[in-house]
Amino acid sequence: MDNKTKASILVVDDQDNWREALTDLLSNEGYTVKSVSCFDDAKYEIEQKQFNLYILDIRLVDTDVFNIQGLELLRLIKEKNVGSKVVILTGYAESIRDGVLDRYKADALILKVPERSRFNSKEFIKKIQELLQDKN
Amino acid sequence: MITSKQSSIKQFLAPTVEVISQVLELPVSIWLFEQTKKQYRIFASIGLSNEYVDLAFLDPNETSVLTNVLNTGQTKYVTDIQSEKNWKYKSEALRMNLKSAVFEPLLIKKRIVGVLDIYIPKNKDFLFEEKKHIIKSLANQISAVLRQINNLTLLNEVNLYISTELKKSPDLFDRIMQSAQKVLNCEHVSVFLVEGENNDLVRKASSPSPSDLQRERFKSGEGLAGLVAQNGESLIVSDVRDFPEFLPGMFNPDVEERSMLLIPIKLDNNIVGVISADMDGLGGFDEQDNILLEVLAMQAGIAIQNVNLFQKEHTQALALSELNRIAQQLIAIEESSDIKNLLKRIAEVAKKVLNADLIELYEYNTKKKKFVLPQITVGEKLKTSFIEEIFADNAVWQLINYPDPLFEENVKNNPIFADPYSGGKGENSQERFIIREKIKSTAAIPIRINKESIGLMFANYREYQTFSTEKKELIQLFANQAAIAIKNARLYNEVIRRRQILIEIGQKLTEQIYLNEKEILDLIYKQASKLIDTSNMSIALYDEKTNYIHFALAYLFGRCVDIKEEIEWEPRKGGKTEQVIKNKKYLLLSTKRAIKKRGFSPIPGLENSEGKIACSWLGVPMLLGNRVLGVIANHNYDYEHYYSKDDIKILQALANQAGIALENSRLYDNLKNLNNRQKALVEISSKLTSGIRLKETEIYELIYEEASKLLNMENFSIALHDQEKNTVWFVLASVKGERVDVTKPGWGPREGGIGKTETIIQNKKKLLLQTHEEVKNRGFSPTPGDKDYKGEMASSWLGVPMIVGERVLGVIANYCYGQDYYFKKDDIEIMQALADQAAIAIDNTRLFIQLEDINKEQWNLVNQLEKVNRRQDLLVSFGSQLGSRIRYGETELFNFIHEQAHEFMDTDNMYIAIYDNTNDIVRFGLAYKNGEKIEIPSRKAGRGRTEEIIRTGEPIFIATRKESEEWYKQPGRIDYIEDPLASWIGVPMKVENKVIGVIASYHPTKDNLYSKNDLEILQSMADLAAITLENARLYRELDEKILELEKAQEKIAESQTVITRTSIAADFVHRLNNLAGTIPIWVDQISDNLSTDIPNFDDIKKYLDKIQSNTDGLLRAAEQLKALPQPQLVDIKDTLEALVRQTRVQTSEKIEIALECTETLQPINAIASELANALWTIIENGIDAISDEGKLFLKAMPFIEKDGREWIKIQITDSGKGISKEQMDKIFSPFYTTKTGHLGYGLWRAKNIIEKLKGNIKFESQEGKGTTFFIHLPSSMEVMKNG
Repeated sequence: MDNKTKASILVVDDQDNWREALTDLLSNEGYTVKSVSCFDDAKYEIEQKQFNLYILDIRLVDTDVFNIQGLELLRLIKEKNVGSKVVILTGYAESIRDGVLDRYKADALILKVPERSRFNSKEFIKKIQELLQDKN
Repeated sequence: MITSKQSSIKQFLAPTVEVISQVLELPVSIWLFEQTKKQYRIFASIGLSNEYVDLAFLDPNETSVLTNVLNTGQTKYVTDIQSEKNWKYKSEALRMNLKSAVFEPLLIKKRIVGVLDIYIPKNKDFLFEEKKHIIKSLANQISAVLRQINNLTLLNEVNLYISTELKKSPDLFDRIMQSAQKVLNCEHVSVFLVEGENNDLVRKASSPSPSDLQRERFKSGEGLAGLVAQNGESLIVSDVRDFPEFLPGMFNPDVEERSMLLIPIKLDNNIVGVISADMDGLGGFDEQDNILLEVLAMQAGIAIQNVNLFQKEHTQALALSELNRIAQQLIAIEESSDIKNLLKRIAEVAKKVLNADLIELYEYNTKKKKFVLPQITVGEKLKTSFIEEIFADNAVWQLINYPDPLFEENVKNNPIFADPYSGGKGENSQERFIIREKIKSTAAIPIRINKESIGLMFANYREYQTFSTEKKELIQLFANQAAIAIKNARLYNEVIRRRQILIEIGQKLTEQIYLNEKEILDLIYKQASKLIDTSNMSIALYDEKTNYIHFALAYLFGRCVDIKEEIEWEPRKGGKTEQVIKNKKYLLLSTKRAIKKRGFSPIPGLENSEGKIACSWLGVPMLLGNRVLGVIANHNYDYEHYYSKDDIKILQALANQAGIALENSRLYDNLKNLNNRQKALVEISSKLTSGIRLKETEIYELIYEEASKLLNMENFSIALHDQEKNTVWFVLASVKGERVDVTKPGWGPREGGIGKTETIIQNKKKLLLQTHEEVKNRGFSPTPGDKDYKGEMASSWLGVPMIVGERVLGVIANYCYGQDYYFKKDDIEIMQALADQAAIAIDNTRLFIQLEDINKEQWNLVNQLEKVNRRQDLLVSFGSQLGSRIRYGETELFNFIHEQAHEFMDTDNMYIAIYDNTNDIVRFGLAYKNGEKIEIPSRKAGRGRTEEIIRTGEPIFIATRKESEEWYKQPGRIDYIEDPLASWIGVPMKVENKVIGVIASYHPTKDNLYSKNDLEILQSMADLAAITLENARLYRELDEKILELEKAQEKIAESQTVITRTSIAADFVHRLNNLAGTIPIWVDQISDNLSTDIPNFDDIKKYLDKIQSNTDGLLRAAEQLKALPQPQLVDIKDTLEALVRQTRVQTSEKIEIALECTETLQPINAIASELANALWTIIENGIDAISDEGKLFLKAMPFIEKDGREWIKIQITDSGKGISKEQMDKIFSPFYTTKTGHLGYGLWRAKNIIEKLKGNIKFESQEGKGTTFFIHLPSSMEVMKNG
């Protein structure tokens, strides 16, 4: 068993399909995955536990166009300053990259549907691995 | 009563009145009864005021001097008009200075029909007693004129009445009787007919006469009628008592005074009946009545003959049975298209039926007034002779206009046959035919249709004949039948001819666009040769209708052979092609034996070929639906089993294509589908290298030319219609056989008219006016648009629309004078077909020209060099990209061109120069040399190469450095950059023939770098660039003008929905990403799972379910998008907070963003996304104004106006660069922007949204310090209060 098994990941996404898919994908890779669907549950997890890596969606209420609670969570995690990695995974477009990385200090921004492309499971896993290794 | 038309009476009376007035030197008027108004009015006058003439009328029942004269028939002299109490128009008489008047009645045969009125002015002496006789005699003259008019009119009517076709004689006799009554103005008329062996006179019709004993039958010579029948002379009886021949039993002897008129009805000089008229009193009939009745009797005779002929047909059994046989034979001939052949058959039948020795039949062309030579001869001729010309005194010429057969028992007795004649020069012609051929008796039988001779047949006998009545009748009936047969054949021919011409037109008009059959077949062959061995290939076409196979293309041993044979197809045993056609399936023969068994010849149809037998044979049908259009066959001489299954498939596919292509080429009607035609046009235009195409004007001429073969084109016109402008104008016209100059006024464009042409265009249907009256009512002039036309009206008018799809291109019209119901069904059909053809042709030409114009440059390139294709494609895409960038500034456009052009040209060495026409300055907007951007200074237009292109508008092509140096050596030319360079090409950028600049490409050192194609590509690029540059310039100009918000406002409604949708769409994309984004993950999982040794199918099933549920979610989301958002209560604080959050995500940390908001704000009634969008635009605008570091401050608070209205006030302040004074009045203009990459309607739209919510937006700005936007929005409470 390698360090992957020990790595824990929290997935925050209001979309059932994404939670399921990510959980499935990451579990198959041997990570310990927990997933929550809303801001409050996520905040609770963040405050109670420490994960090696967080995967956060930005908009946590699908119907609210201006909801960016995911970034609030990012701020909470970074405030704890325990070296956890945060990946922002969003359905928004590329244009938010600078803001998310510079202003909010996320470790990575991954688009759910990259322009003119599709979500690539392998590259996603690779990125996760990179971030976790970086930590070690 | 006067029954003739008023106008013709007036016309006749005018000169008469003039004469009377001259004789009497007094004003005169004639009063007659006007039928339509049932009044007496002045029909002619001299010396009276026009107003009075138009005004004056008298009702028959009105008491007046005039009506009194009409009733009594007595002359009346009114000595003092003013004191006459029954004078109707006293004041008028006073005005005209009239003192007295004389009224003289006008009579037609004792009947008073009007009054001659003579007026004596106050200053004139007049002695009535002296003048009364002359007045009476003048009145008699007028009466005579009136009677003539009356008679003419009556005869005309009667003629029409009698000669209208009748099958039953009783009706006919009634008609004759009625006509006589009318003509003679006499009630008592009887019609007798000679009947039976004793030639008794039998009454066939009579009008009741109180004095008439209605005796039904007279013996020959009995009574006055019998007398007339016997003598054959008409009889005017002034007093019946004068005649001893008058026998009791005819009239009631109580009536003493009685006059009569009796006229014999003659037929072929035989008396067949008598018309008898009688009236009370003595001398009732005069010579004029006699003439009238004679004319009537003549007409009656002809009518009776016609009816008799009809009846005799039923009675003469023998003749009839023979004739039936002939008729059947002749009808059978009718199918034949050959008139000559038909005439020959008629002559043959005639010889047999009439037992003649020699039949000669001359066909006569009525229109050309010529005989068609040579004549038909049946029977043995004693001497050979050829008639080259028929001279005027020849028997044939003399007899052609005889209505009836001429039976000559001894030809020597008849000078027509026997006398020598003058015309001929040769010996043959001087010897009479009858002498030459030893003719003793002859029957000359005219063959006539509608009283027009179409031929003349001579039945010649070398033995003396007696022509019995039966024989004569037989001959007559034969002639009638022959005439009908010829008529039918001519009609048949005419139909065929018309059809052929129609097809011809169709071809002529459409061949310009379509590939013909041969071209299609050649194309098929060419394509096939790329796929299979076609060295022995043939294409047979099969015509379902005629059952013919025709080899349209054949190759033998690689050489093209021309097989023009047509072999009738019968389903023979063993015919290979035939079998393919019959089975609608391929036939493959793979061995020499099989082929030999089937029979084989390289030339189809050649039965006993001694040549080499093929080893393999493959034929496939050309199928279209269920029809076989033909067969494509291949054979090979060297190998058995040469053709594979693939070969069959390929050949079949090819054959199917061929079938479609052939059908397309055949059915030009399919052209009507615009899209197909466009496709076809593009395809064809790319295949056709050149070829003469018809211009529109040529099409009109062609239509006219072709139509004149089909229709009477004396009056014809083609009008075109411009749908956009709603105008109609004429492009070709002919009036009364003369071609009209349609550039003259009246024919030119007219707008929104309501004429016949416009009606046709509007209804998309033909307009047929069949009578003079209809045309008149509809309005008519030979020159269109002439509303005051008083000339001759057409009697029949037909216009048909030229329609393609839903569009009416125009109208073609045809009309005729003087004949109602002129257009028959097939004329209408032909006109419509013509219009259809014309429409398609015109449309094709237009389409073609359109395509040609658009694609000329491109197609030329494509056609000439295939290798240019890719560059061309790029150029096209370049063009479309460029075209969409009209909002670019000039520099941006130059850069874009430079950036994009590298795909098809060397952009390392190029420049774009712009010519400023107003200041005559050449400006180099962009220049590169060896990949480096260089600056070429602007200059006053001089004598450089660029200027040369600007000046001439022509490209310059220089291949080598040497050539370039030579170029500059020409006197006056200047090398501004002091480097002649090597290869050099430059082209003008032209807009509407105006050179706006130059694009050049070159190389500093390399010679011969560019080809002519490069020049063309560069030119194409320059053309595209020119258009875009010009558009961009126009756009910039337009941009200034668009400031008028009024106009922009109009567009708000439509753009708003679009933009709203766009903002919703952005949200939708987000959702879409959420919903569909996971599908790839599941797919990845499935593919991972499948690549393992033991795939877990439960897992795969699970993943598939997930994909399914994602897809369902997508569909639901799509449904939601369809609904437009509705206004709702929006919390401004929430909105602003969310916006601030989002802004923070998207901006650098160096920009501080702050929000200050009153806790309890009234909500606003708005579409949330719209309002947020508007606010977002202003925020974004502020962020953009901050170049690097700075602050954005938002503030929201309630605001109560003095009048108590409640508002929400929002302030958005940035510490950016501010807005310059020049920009201040523009920032809310649509498409205004200082930022690249922005469309620039953001603020304009924001303002619109805010104003729609009944709010307002203002701003304050200081350059270098920042800007504050003030937004006022009414709270929802306010909106509700105000309803």
